[in-house]
Amino acid sequence: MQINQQFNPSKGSWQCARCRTPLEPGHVALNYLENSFRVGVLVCPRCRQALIPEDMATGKMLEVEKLLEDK
Amino acid sequence: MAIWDFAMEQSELRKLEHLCIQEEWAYCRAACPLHIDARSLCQALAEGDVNKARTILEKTMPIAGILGRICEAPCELECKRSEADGAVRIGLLEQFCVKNASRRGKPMKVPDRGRYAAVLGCGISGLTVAHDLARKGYRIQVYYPESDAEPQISLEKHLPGPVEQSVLTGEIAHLKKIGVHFIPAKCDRQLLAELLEKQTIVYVGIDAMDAGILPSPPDQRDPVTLGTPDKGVFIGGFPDGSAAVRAIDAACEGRRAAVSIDRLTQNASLYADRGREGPVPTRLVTSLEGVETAAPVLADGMDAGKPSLVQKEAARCLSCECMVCVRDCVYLEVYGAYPKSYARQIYNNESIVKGTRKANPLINSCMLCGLCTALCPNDFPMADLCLGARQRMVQGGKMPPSAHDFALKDLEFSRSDAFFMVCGDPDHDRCQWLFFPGCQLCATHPEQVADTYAWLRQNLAGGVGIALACCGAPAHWSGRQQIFTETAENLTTETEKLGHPRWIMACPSCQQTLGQLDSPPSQVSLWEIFSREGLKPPSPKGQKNFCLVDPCSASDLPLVRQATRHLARNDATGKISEPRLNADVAACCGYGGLLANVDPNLAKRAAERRATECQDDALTYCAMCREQIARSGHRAAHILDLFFPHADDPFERPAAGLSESRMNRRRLKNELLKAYWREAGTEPPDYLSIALQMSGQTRQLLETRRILDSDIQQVLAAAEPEGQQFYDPDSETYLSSRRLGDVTFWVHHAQQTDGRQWIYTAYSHRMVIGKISRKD
Ligand code: SF4
Ligand code: SF4
Ligand code: SF4
Ligand SMILES: [Zn+2]
Repeated sequence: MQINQQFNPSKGSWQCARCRTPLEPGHVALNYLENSFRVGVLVCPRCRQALIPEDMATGKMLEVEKLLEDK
Repeated sequence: MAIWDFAMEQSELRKLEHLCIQEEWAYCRAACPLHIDARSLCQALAEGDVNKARTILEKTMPIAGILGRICEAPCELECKRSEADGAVRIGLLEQFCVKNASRRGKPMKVPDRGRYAAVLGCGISGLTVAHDLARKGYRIQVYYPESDAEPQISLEKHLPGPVEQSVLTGEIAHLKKIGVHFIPAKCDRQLLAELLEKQTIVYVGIDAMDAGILPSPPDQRDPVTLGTPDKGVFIGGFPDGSAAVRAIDAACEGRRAAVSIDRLTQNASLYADRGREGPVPTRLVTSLEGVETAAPVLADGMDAGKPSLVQKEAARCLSCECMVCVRDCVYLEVYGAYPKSYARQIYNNESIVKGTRKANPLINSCMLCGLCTALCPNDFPMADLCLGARQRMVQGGKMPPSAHDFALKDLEFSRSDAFFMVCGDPDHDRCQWLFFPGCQLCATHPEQVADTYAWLRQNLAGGVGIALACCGAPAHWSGRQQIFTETAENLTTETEKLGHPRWIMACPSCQQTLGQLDSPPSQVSLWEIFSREGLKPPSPKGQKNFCLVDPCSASDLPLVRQATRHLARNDATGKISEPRLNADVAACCGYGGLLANVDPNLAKRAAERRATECQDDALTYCAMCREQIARSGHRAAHILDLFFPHADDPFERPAAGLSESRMNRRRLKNELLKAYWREAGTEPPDYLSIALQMSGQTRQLLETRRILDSDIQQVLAAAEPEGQQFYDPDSETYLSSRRLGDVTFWVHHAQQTDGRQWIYTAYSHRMVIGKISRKD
């Protein structure tokens, strides 16, 4: 499933702490209870790290987690 | 494994459904031979909606224009309100209704289904047969004596009470529209014989026809079916003894005969399931408690024409129902129905193979306090129902993983070396006593637990050991029977090594939980010991009046309640009040059944409700009640706060936070080990030394998100060099994350000049981060 949304942190110019590369828009697969979603987030193109912002974790992700848990 | 292995049996559901009488008919409706829903009728009239009232009447009442005017209202004799200040005048309300609102909508003629029957006699019983069968798609012929010029003239002759001609004409016209034909004829034996010859089923209404036309004497009719020895002939509308037949009884007989005729036509059993016709008993229980006196405002002979009086009279209706349990349980209330409906929802939930299990929150939100069962006239076991469902969900792998996660992790913590300890008395080889404070009391009142242990050792002979452990209640409440048994067994094995001590219980929930074991330990409450030894708490400064709050877990522990009452009473105490729901019918503070984990907002409401019922500062002997009530903003103390005060005003003590609760347990264990056994205790993990600082607002946010300092510290400990970390040069702050077990934590932080970490925020998710790719 693809959630057609890009989730960015509300502020800051975030970079990867490991390689100091500025983050750029990318995709992350999120898996839960045998379901998978692809969501747009900021990623480090070199180290393949994804930044999950607070709004996304406590909003959409939580909502979907609860939904899947009741399936 | 298939889900139906872990589902409620249907017979079990039926048994439960039968226990809850909320759907039973109101007294008036059960007493009404036609089962008119007078409760809804009154409701509509009380709202001033006469048209709605007429629609309600029309649903069950045949020829309502007539019956509504002359019904003798036997329902009033059974009206609940008659036990208080006089029955609701249902009969007069019906009169008002039919006089002031006409039939709603166009008459509905049900399509012809090729079924027919004949009625002899144009009286109430016959017209009821005609009405009921016409509504089922029958075409009915009503024969009336040709000497009467019109059916309404015939009808008027046989009515038990006066009704204007125009009304009668209107009712006849209505019946014609729904498929009833009126035929003037010589109504004699020959007509009857001719109809039977043609295989027509015939109803003879004796309320409008001479019984002489019947082939067999009328007293030979079957009282259930109203059939006669003559096949195809049904009769009704008898005067009972010498008195004239009552209109309502005539209608009731007509209705009964219509059922028989329909069944005979369809070759169905004439006798099956006929116990609910006519006046029936009801199992409903409605309490008159709190009903304010209001005498009837309508009286016989009064023209029921004044709308304001009618509205007032209708408003006297109590809307009889049970709802006793729902009124006193926030949980039952917020789910919008009552246990009978909940049992069905839970049953349905378990039969879902694919799709959303909508009743999961319902199942997981019961506080398992048992108050409803204590209040219910039939002891409906809501707690058992929900607990059983939770156990089946766990067994079937259908329990939402996050529902009880925090509580189960807390249980793991209590079972770990960080807290768990069972020690004998340092001065004795074997112990006669074992102090069992319970994990929550240790988490919130570590100083008082240490003080109590010292006091017990000084005052009791035979050696006093101590056990720091969780009784396993969270496992039990969450439906994890296996973890519960393991926890309890582990605990009892350890304590057996001390001999067979008597357990001194400071927590009523532990006492209740361990008391349920197959072979429970020998237990006595700390309060009984204190009380027996004559210990009295010093009065706190200025504190005179208390409200003694019993925890729901003490509902089955009368000795505990007695002892705490004895302890609370003191020379210096003034008034000791109690909340309305207390003692053996105590309401839960919101902690029970792990509600605070599943639905923190509902748990908060339960605590607030408990607090509002306290007129004075709350004094309790359950650590969870104390925290819940204090958290809701009401002054509250644990009784141990009075015995062993560690604050100027024990009623002002803030509730312990989640991280503090863990720290308190760690510290208590190590302090006791050091003080009594000269042992160093359990070394805390390194990451706990990472110093954190945050605003009060952030602290509160993390409490509601159930994120512990130790979670944050573990993220920070691994952040460099291997963990996942981001940096924002604008604010010079970091965002670090790490997966701990089945949760990924994120921490937004910055190093302060003093070396401590300032925490801006932290959050978590259960989803697992998978493949990461660049924008394509
Ligand atoms: S009070 Fe209302 S609902 Fe109850 S029996 Fe009387 S009319 Fe019926
Ligand atoms: S919370 Fe208590 S009173 Fe409410 S339904 Fe559950 S057991 Fe009954
Ligand atoms: S108390 Fe509750 S469970 Fe019992 S009959 Fe009434 S509504 Fe039903
Ligand atoms: Zn990088």
